[in-house]
Amino acid sequence: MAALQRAIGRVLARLDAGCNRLYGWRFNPLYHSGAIAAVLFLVLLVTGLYLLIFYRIGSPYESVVRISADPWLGRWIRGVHRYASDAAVVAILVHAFRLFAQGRSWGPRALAWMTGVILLFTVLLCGWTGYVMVWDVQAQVIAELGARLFDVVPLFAEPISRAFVGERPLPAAFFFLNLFLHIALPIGLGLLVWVHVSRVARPALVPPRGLLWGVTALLTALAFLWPAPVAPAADLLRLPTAAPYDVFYAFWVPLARAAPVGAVWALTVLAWSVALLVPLWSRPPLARRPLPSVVDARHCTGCEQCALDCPYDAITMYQRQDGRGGLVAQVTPALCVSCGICTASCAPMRVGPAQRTGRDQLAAVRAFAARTRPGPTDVVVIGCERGAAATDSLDGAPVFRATCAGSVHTSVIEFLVRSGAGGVLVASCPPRDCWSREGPKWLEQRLFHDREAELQARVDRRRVRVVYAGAGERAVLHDALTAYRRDVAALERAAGEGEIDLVSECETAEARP
Amino acid sequence: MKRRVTQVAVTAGALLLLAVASRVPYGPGAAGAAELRLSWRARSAQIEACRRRTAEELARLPVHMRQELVCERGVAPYRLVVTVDDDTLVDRTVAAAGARRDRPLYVFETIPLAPGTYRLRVVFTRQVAVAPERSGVEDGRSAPAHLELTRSVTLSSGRAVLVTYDENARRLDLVITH
Ligand code: HEM
Ligand code: SF4
Ligand code: SF4
Repeated sequence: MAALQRAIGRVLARLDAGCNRLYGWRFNPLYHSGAIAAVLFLVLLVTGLYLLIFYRIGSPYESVVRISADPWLGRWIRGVHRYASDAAVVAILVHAFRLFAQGRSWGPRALAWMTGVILLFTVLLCGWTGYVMVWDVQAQVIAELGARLFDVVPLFAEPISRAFVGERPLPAAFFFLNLFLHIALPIGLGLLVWVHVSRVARPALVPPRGLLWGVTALLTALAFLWPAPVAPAADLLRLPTAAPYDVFYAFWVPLARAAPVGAVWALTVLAWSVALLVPLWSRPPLARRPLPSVVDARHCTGCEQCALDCPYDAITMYQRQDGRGGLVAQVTPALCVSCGICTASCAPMRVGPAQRTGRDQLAAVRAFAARTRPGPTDVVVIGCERGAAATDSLDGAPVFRATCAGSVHTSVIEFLVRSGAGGVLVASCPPRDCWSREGPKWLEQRLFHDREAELQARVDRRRVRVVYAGAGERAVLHDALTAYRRDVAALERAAGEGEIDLVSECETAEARP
Repeated sequence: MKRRVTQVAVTAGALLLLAVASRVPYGPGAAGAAELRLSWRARSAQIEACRRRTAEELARLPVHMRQELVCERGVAPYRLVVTVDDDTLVDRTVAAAGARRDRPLYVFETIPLAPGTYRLRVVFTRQVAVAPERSGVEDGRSAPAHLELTRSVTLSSGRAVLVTYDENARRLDLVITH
């Protein structure tokens, strides 16, 4: 499992790096795949409502042909509905593979994972009913296959497949039921998405505006330029002829037609069970599982910052029961993914996963500074282990490694600056690529916008810089380091030229006769 | 500039890929195939098998349940034989449908055949004779005891020929479209 995760991770890291170069990390669609899926769901609802007005269960194929023949709205909206449903499958798969590769699929995330698998299944089912609605050749094939599959379930006295042999036309009730499912399933999807994101704080359901409108505009343009095809009508007394098939929703057709029904069922149940049980397969052995965060209740000041920052809503504030009054934070271990974000939220350093609290970080950075002895022209790197800085040394610069850049307490940065480093380069994953969801966001606010626990005003901000570089972007980090070294050297030169050594000046003055 | 061009090219390529994957040509039925289908539902006659309990059997039962004549009701099965040219492709008993075997019986067969002209014979015969004194059970709604269709049929490529039972005319029919 770990090897598979690493392999997918490597592919994604390359794709991410390419997309970042092309679109910039803010608009990298791969980072926003979950949000894009959610937006496409809305696009599908709107376009679907329009199509519903013109769809007729009494003459399904003819009504779709009529919609497609309308050059103004019908053809275009059908195209957008079609391509948005295809793009949704792509977005969902990217989202799922990304989270799988990042190991974000077990523990407190198991609910999101399992509902995600059900979401994917429901989306595919929705596509199935959508394509049956058209009642063309593809519809006939997938409807017949569906009937064949369900015939092994002893639900009815007669096989459902008998309805598709051409003995009599399909009843309108069939198309009504299908339409009902095609409308009911998206309602279920909406509810499922709600459960899906229920364990994350501030779920990012909407991508940045540029990406949102960009994706919508591109699908619209595609629908204009290359409208959705109309295949020949279904004919039950004809063996299905060659026709255009939608790979995203009909990928299983060749296999399902060739294999015995039992094998198709076995494979389907197996594949979905494996996907559903990924939270079991993918979790690390007990000894290597990171421990949840703990609050030192005695010294917690009740400032609420950790509860505000926790990306998983795992921290709740309670009234103190020890007679001191005020609030105290408490972590719900079952909800905590051990991201360490709260470590950096707490000014008095009283919360964090075991051995990864602010105090532990300070101890570690002291040892790090003693070992590396950074000088005034040196840049030290604080690097997220999951990003481009997952190394001990980068082009000669020592790297202080953290589980997430957003978990690094600002005191650690201040300590490095005060211990003589010319500059501290914090190498973080791009914001929407963060394993901890909100690490880079809070990091930036703590360093430059006074969010608790902020980097103290006394720290020269020119001595601290943040660079976003994902796992496949070592070159970006390298360039940023080179540029920052140059800037730090310039800073040092300027300081050397402009600074007056008051002590020696005074001593010299006093010594003068 | 170069980045812009690559950006446009990659985006257009991704969209093109999406649109192409949305309409991949696929021909599921192997070209040059045809199919013979048999599909119908028919009511069969009710049958009743009765026997008398032996004295020992009766003695074992509680007094209030000592009924001498026991009858089991059911639906008469049929035998289906399909012969194409000289080959018997189907020869089986068709029992009533439903978990309790009390629903009308149905036939559902799909037989792939190469296109061509065949001598087709379908025989559907009731397996259990219904006693004349109970012929009232065999009302007008149940299928005749013997149904037969013998025809020369031409199966064209990509077409299905359907044999079905016409409940009103009470005979087997052939449905061919060209
Ligand atoms: C209709 C389909 C889906 C939509 C709209 C969707 C949307 C989302 C959104 C918006 C988030 C919150 C992301 C954030 O704010 O960080 C999320 C989280 C998540 N999704 Fe999905 N998702 C879908 C399908 C899936 C599938 C198929 C899977 C996996 C099988 C999946 C697994 C997860 C997991 C594990 C998380 C939690 C990530 C974390 O907490 O770090 N999702 N999803
Ligand atoms: S480590 Fe802290 S911030 Fe992260 S999930 Fe646990 S309690 Fe929340
Ligand atoms: S940030 Fe620290 S002091 Fe504030 S509530 Fe959380 S644990 Fe308590």
